[in-house]
Amino acid sequence: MKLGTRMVASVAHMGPAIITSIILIMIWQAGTSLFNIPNWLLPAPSRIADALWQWRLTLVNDIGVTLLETIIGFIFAVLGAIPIAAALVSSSLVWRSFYPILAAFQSIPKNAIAPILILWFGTGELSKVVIAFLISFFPIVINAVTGMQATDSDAMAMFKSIRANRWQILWHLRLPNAIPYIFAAAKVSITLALVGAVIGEFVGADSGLGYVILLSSSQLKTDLAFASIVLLALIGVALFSVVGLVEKLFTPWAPSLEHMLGVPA
Amino acid sequence: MSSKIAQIWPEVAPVESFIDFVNVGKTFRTRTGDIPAICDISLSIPKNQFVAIVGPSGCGKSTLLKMLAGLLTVTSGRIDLHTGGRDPLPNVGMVFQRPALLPWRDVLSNILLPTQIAKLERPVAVKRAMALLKLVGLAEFARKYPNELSGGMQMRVALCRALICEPTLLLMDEPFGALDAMTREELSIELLKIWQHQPKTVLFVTHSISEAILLADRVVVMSARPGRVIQTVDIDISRPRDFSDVHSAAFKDYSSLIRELIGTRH
Repeated sequence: MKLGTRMVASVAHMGPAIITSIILIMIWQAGTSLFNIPNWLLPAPSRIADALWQWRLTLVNDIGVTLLETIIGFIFAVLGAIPIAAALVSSSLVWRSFYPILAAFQSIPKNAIAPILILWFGTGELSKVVIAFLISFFPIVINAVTGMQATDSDAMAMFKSIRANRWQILWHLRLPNAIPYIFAAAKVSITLALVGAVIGEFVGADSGLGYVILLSSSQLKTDLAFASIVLLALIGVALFSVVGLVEKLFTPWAPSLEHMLGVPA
Repeated sequence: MSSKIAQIWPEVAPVESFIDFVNVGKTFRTRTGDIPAICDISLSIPKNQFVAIVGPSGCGKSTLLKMLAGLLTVTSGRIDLHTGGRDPLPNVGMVFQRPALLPWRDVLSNILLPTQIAKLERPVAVKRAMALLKLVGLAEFARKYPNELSGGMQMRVALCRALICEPTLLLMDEPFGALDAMTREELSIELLKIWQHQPKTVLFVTHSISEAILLADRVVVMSARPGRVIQTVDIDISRPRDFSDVHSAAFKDYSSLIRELIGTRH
């Protein structure tokens, strides 16, 4: 299938969503002028676009800060979660020692400990990286564990019949089996990591989109706050898509998008 | 070629026993109490014999195979393996009812898996795998993923995977049970060809009486749970066999004999 055909197919697939968005934005624009809604309460889409353009130079810096915090926190979460999941499923002693503690940690609302993390790691990027890490770590561990345990019983019997040892079973069966599960969690986690970074910036920071939202809404520069929110939404979608692309690279055996859309190859 | 195999066959005719089941019993412990799955099975299997095990479902046929493969322990009695070498465990190839291929590996890598576990040299292993794929008519599918193959093709790949380490013992647990009748017949004949090409001891669990007679030198008939051996029936139909044998008088006699044996309550 040619790239051009594929792009046409994916645009055609997203067409209805694009049209709906345009209609909603038009209603918003008309509504704000029709009802004379003040800019500080709800800025019109055109005002938000103005703000984006006007503040573009500083916003680029804030995007960079928030993006960096999110991605670093997320990458550490993935790198930490997989070996920990492997250790959990490979030894029942490790499982019984650590899994309950992990589950308990998972149930702590991460925004509740954000002020303490700022206290420990300062108001710079590090504290946000830590929050992004903590918030995105647990879903990946839980899903990786599930994927490593959800192995086919016949495949497991086959590995045992060829006398594979624990490490060979981990490497050749459990880990590859967990890859789709890990990616499913990663797609959720990367968005959560962004939430974590913004929470951290709310609590204490001097840059980043969360900081911009907090500062501009306190100064009634609501258009700038909305501009930052739009940017966060775009970042969230972009990060989600990147994880989806990496997933396709890592799972060439999975049915392709064209296949699922029913577009002939 | 087939007449050559027929000549070779009497020469490798089995004499000494390779596997001895001695009063083997298996009891599963569950919360609601002990469930005896297999009771007092004694059976001698000579080297290179093709043995089919038939019986009603739940009679412990699969349990028998799993104990032999070392996947389950024996509760009472013992299983003696006369492997000849120092290794008390035989080189086992196993095929299950489902192909149980790894979806993330292509056909060739799936077949190579046992050689990776056994740390065989890769070039040798690849050569062997390609020869096996050619034998089952899938040479051009080496780079396909399992989900791109039909059920019958997947089962052929599973068979290749079981054969790649050149096992002395092939354990097959209702391998063709999930396939349609036509594919099933094709694969039975292919299995016979492979077995006559490279003789090995085969234990083949099946629900199908005609499949058992067509394939095996000896059919072990088991009773309902707890599984016991009702009788073993030697199948005296000349080899190589094919599907025309199914219509012979001898085949029909064996079939009604075994059907009768299974119907007997013990």
